[in-house]
Amino acid sequence: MKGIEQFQHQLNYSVYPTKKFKTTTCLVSFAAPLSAETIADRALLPFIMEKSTATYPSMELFHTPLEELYDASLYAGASKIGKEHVIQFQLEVVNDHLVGEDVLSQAIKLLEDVLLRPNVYDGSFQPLIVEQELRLQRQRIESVYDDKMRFAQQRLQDMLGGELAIPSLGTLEQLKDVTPRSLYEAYDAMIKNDRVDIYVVGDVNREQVETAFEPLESLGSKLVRELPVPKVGEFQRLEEQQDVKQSKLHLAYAIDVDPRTEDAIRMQVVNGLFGGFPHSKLFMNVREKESLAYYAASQYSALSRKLFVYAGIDGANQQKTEDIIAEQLDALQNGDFEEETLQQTKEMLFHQRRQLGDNPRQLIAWMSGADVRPFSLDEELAIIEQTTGEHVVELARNIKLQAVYCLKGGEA
Amino acid sequence: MKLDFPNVGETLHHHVLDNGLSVYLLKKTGYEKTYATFTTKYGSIDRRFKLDDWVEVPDGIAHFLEHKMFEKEDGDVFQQFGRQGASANAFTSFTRTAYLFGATSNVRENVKTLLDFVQYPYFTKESVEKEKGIIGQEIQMYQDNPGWRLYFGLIDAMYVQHPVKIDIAGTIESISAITAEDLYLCHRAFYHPSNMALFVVGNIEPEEMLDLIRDNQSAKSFEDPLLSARETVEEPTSVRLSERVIEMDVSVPKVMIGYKDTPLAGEDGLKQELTVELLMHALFDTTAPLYTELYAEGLIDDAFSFDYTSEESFAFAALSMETPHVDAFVSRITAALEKPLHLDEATLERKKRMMQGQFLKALNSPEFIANQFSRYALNDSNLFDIPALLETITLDALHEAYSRLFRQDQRTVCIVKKP
Repeated sequence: MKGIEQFQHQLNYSVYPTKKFKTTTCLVSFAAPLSAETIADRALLPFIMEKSTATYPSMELFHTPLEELYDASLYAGASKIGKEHVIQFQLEVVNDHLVGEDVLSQAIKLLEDVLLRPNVYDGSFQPLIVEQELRLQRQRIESVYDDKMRFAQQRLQDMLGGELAIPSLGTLEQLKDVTPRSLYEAYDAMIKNDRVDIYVVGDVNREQVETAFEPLESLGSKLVRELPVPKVGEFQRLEEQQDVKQSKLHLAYAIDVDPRTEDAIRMQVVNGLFGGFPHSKLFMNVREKESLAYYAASQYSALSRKLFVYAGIDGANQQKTEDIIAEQLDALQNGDFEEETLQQTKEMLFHQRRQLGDNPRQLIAWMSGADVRPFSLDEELAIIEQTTGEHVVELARNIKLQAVYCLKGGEA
Repeated sequence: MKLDFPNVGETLHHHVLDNGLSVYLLKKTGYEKTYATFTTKYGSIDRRFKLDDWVEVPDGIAHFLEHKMFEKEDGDVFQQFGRQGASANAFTSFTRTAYLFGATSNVRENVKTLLDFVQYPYFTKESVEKEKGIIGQEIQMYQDNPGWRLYFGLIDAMYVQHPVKIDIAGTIESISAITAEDLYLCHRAFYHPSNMALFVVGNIEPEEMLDLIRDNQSAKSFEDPLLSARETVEEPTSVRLSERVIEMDVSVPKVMIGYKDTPLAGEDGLKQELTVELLMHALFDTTAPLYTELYAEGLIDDAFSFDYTSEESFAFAALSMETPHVDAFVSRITAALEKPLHLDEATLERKKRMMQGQFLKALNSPEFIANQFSRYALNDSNLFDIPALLETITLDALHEAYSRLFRQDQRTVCIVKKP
């Protein structure tokens, strides 16, 4: 993306000044190595921090000024990205000139309040708030069971082990050790030890950003991102039963491609031919030709070096569906695809990339991957353009089925 | 016609073509993408209507038709959009069917493709039969989704007659009766240009785009509109059932409280929608006294949400929550809504600023502009009137809405929980 300014002080900044949006969006991101020991505390922390601060010690008191500022939205969330655990604080406000008031600088002060002056007393978060949020977090963990697609994907990732098997919310067991004190310790470690990246998209310039975020300059460390080291074990298969009408078939494939290479960009083309789009082999055959499913798709996870396939099917058709999925991969490995389909896949990938700049949050998500992706947007477009049928065949032969999980219907 | 909305920084071009099609064009400076929707005022509730005679069609047919529009003699339209670098999709709601694409290249070709495929029906017996398997799996997928079951369970319990109570996709049984002839009939009845709106937003030059659309439309001939009436049903203001429990294997019980409202059309409908939304924000946001109380008791949290649905022939408010303490949650909420409303001017002003901000933020999204504008336009109101209308809403109007809406006989509670 042309026009992104990147610079560093203690913190790392990426700023995209533009007048095309009605809003300015800021994201402050804290990254630490992913670990099963800290995940339960770190997953809960953002839910607590976004609700109150020392200055505004209740949700009612803290959210009132945000509403006054034309619904300034301040959200915190946590996620796993490769080998890292990332806690993000996102602020979105309408541009000052649209409402004739100085909204942005007031809202950034509230964001700083969240980060620097949390609602803690004597080295602990407020016990009452923590108790509420712990209950809610237990409920969130339990309700993964109610979203069958997510449930099946989590079970598949459990089978794969490593970073993928660490549930992003932590487990009910781990949650038992979370206390107002342990949460404060997690907060303290986060602001001292994490790598802090700041992203801003909107009607701002570099100087404004530097001034506005100066108070955060004492935070963080120069932690360097590490990439996952893939382990590929023996092929595994697991079937489980629940009382569901539709069965969920999820497959994992190992991909031996370094996420920082041109091949990782070309893998997007392979995934696009296989199951990434409505013209892909999976959609065309599992759904359109055989009417076996409403959805049948694949997704490439470059950092974890995996390709996932999922389909919602009638349980009686499991074997048939697996056979058809295997045939589609065979076809790619044998070069059995049209030049026209390859071109169509490239067009869709171009479109996905070109539209990134029309959405502030997508743009920030793209900017945040820059340190493990050595290519500019234009370079990526060129690599996709130059991907040949031979590249596809060679890379497709690199795709190895690693695990199959099926959640089947019938009485549990 | 060119309409400036300087307070939101947008200019909209609106034209009604000779064949009756409403065309809306909006240039988003600096955007790479162009997004277009082609929407017909035809949804799942249109199950009985008059052409020469009254006709009744199987439930779920509007959605079925949406699926089948993509298939043509020479292949699938998805593929054509794909070759032209566009990402296409479609959706069916209670009252509308929309076809859409987003593209960063070949925009002119894609607009023509959109107009042509939606205006050229092609169905065969074989392709209709094949689709029944795919939609069957879609229906099964939703049957396993507790949130979907809760929402449709609520609406079904609220309404006595109104076809909003029927699942948008129909049932496996109802769609089994659909034939190619039924699909042709519905297309002729509801896909006439005078019943549709085209919205193109993004990286466009409005004048050039209008010429292209006009040329495309004037090269086609259309019969006179066939549709002479849609069935209107007498729906009482009170609900059919005050409570319904759906048994499903869920880890945490889910509940929705619905309040049935009296629908209004046109600008009155939009104003009523904004009034109720302001009221619900004042009552149920995290800054509201009721929220603070229930949060302290562990009865409300981030899982809570609320929503107001407003169309020409039906309107209702819905509050949604996941909690092991469903009964306590329901009794606290319903008891609070039976007390007189206490609301001050300062709160109303804050809620107005909040909704003004939400509206401005949403204008970043071409998808929001096209989808929401089309929805309002087909209901004879205007999305861009929202900022000005909000300012006209008074505390009295909120009091009036409160006493009209939150009545016991208009309330349904729907719960999804383990047997």
